[in-house]
Amino acid sequence: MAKDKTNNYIRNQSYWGQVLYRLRINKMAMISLYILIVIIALCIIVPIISPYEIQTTNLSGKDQKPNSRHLLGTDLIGRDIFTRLFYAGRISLGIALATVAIECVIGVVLGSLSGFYGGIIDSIIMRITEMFMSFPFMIICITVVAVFGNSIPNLIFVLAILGWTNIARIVRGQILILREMEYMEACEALGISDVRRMFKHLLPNVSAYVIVYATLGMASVILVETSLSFLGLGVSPPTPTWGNMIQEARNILIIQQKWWYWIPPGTAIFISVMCFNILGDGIRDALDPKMMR
Amino acid sequence: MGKKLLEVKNLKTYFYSDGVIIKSVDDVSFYVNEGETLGIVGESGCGKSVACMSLVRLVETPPGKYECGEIIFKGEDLLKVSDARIRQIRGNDISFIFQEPMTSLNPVFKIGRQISEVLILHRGMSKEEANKESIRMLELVKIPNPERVVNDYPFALSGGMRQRVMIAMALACKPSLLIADEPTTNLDVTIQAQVLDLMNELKEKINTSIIFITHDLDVIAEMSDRVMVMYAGKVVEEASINEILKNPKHPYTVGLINSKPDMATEGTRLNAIPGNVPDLSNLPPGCPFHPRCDKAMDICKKIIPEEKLLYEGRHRISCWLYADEEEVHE
Amino acid sequence: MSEYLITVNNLKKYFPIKKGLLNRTAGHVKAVDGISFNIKRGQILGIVGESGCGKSTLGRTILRLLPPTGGEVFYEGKNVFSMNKREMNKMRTKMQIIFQDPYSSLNPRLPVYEIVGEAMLQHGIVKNKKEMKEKAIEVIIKCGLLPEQADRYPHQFSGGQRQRICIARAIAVNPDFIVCDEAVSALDVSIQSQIINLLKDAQEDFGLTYMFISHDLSVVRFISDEVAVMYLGQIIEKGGKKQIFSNPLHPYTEALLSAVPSIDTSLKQNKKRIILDGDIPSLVNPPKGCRFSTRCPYVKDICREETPEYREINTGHFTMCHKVNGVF
Repeated sequence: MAKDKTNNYIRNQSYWGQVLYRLRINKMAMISLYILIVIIALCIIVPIISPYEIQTTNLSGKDQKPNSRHLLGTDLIGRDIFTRLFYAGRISLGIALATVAIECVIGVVLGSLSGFYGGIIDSIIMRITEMFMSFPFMIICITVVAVFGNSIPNLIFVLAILGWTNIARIVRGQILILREMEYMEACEALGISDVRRMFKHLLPNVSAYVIVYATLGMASVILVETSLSFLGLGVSPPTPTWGNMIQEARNILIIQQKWWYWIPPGTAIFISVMCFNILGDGIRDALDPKMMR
Repeated sequence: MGKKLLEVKNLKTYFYSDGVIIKSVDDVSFYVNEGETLGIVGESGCGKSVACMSLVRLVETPPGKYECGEIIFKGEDLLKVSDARIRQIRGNDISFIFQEPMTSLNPVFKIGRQISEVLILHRGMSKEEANKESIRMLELVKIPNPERVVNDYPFALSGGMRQRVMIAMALACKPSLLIADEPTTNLDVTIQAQVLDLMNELKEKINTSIIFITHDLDVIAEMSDRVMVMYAGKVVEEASINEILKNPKHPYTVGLINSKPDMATEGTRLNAIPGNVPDLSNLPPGCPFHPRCDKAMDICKKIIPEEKLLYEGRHRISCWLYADEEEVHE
Repeated sequence: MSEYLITVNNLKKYFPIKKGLLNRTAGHVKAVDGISFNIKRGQILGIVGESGCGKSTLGRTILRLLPPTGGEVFYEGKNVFSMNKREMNKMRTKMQIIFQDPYSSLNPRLPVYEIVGEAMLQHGIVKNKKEMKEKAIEVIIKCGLLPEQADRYPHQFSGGQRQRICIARAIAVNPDFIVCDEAVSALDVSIQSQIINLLKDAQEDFGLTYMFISHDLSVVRFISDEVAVMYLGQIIEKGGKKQIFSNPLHPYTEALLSAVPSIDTSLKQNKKRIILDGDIPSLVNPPKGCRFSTRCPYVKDICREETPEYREINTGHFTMCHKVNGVF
């Protein structure tokens, strides 16, 4: 009887209701989601829970191992690492979110125009996409940083400008598939307007793929931002990000002896990237149950 | 009729997915005699394909599971034999023809190689022998220019030709049982006529037993000696083809025959069976057909009818309408 | 007003085959190659033919869902192909289509009332969303669904119910003409007859005209008034239902009818089955002369050379065959 109930429950949900249901029964994805929520929450409330200011230096209390007053110890100039870690999280996750959001906007607009209208518009947009895809990533980054300086907006701009191409291609591909569906043909036979076809019929069916891509994209942007910051091309100190917190621990002596400098940001990167990836896969499975085993 | 080649007793194949049990094959029993064609008719999801896949354990487990039952083939219980033994039986003693030949042929190998492979594997032939035999098999299924076709890739052939290749492959090891799962459903009428004609001819030549699965009563009428009608994972009726067509007993069979467009008189409506094809994960209690049955009684809504052998053993039926009839024991 | 609702005049639809880097046109798939016929108001024309004979393309081209290569289609005397975008948009409500696959023909993200009603709103048949929902519910009740099912999504319905939604969507805009493209072919046997009944009822209630495309001869025989047989992009025989089914003239029609398996055992005994040799030739390179010449049991030399004339043999019974035309 209970089984009948779950079965009916799934059937009687709207599309998103079903997706949520299937996501909820995926344990790994749900654990990842909860961990991410905790990390984000800590980033948001860090000013409240931490007694230290982000830039407060305390040379007398520098270089402490984790202890009861400094949960994760202090760094070379006595800043509290716990506090910095979550302030850094704000920057790192914020950059990732902003980048992915811009990528999605550019990608969805260009991708759907390309797929919907086809022909010459499609050719132009696709050539532009290919052009952007063939830019050497690091060189562009170095150039932009050199010319415009390495501020956070600049970093977001570079990452988004180089990253939207994938999503544009995904959206275009999906729209090309959907355009061949008989319900789109039925729309044409019914004389449904372009705008309505786009916003009521095509985009809702593409949104699933965009969400999956955005989640997985968060993970990759975090990694890219980290590498850039590590190379000194990202956000410049003293603003902390997970990347430049590790960068500060680049010295071999610190790596060997002062593990509390680099293990916390490293772990934060590892866990959040893992969680975004698992969650992204989970959402994909939930969206397309046929793909699951 | 010859003796029993295959006997299936109380087979249950269930699927477990998303916390739901799907009883695809639920307590199904049947037999096939030597040299006989058994037709299995039913609509999508009635379990006809799963039942036959279960015969050689082709159902993926999990999500599928063979709950219970016996499949006696030449004295062996196929549900109990080892994996190695079942692989030996597949293709050698029991072979399959599927609906979509393109998915059962490997697109990157030449036709000849695919047939030869079966021959080398199961009949231990040398490469040259196998090649010769492949050409002979293609000739048997009336493919023009078999010497050329052995060197063709599957995509170069039309749907009808591919289905002939499939038949050739299936018959290559002279199986004692051939299971044809909707072999002509995707083919055009004139091509279907060719393939059915061929199968009937080969049946007499090779003396293979056939299980012919289809949703199309007309095709069954042309092909089989005996028919089994399935509904929602259960056998609802079984009898010889003439008996079923002239004297159908189960309301579902009656409905199927009467709803056919060629049975309707000019200018009237078709005698459609009302309702929808049942959802196997959410079956009604009692006889699964009762919500659509115009003769449903109170008991039909509560208790699943048992199978009975009626009319001098000519008819096997599971329906409460015939509860008072005297059962014949074998 | 002419007695014909739809007139099709020498309609052609070729699909170019592109090859190579430069998208050179290497040839054409002649899916519809010079087809002419007309349909009387309130009649059902059945189109039968095997896969790849161009029957689906024919339906879509008539509705201008595909741009035509040549020819004309008239709707009540108005040339459909010369209409501008606005006129065509208005025309859309008059001509509808029902597809084969009830799964891909419904948008999974819209509730049923919106699927059925959106075109009514678009064309100003209803004024607002509330009215749209009321009207949509009226239509789906007519199509045999329950009013409370209007808020559900397509995945909650079975194949037959989905096809009912498709029919509701088509008749919601009050069309005169509906192309049923294999509308019952994907359905289960027991559901097929329900949907055929529904289509027939709708036709009688609303005075609809159908072009009923199907490969299933028994369905076409049941539902149609007139039948046209297509082979390789051409209509090779057309006539009243009785003329086609009891007195087929073209050898292909004859073979097609005899190839249909039947449970009618009495019929089976005196029926001589004609088994055609070979496969259906490709539309890229149709045979020269009569297109059926490669498989025809009565073929003569002239058939391979000259295309036979499409002639009226008896009143309303047209065919295209040298043998029937008395050439040999």
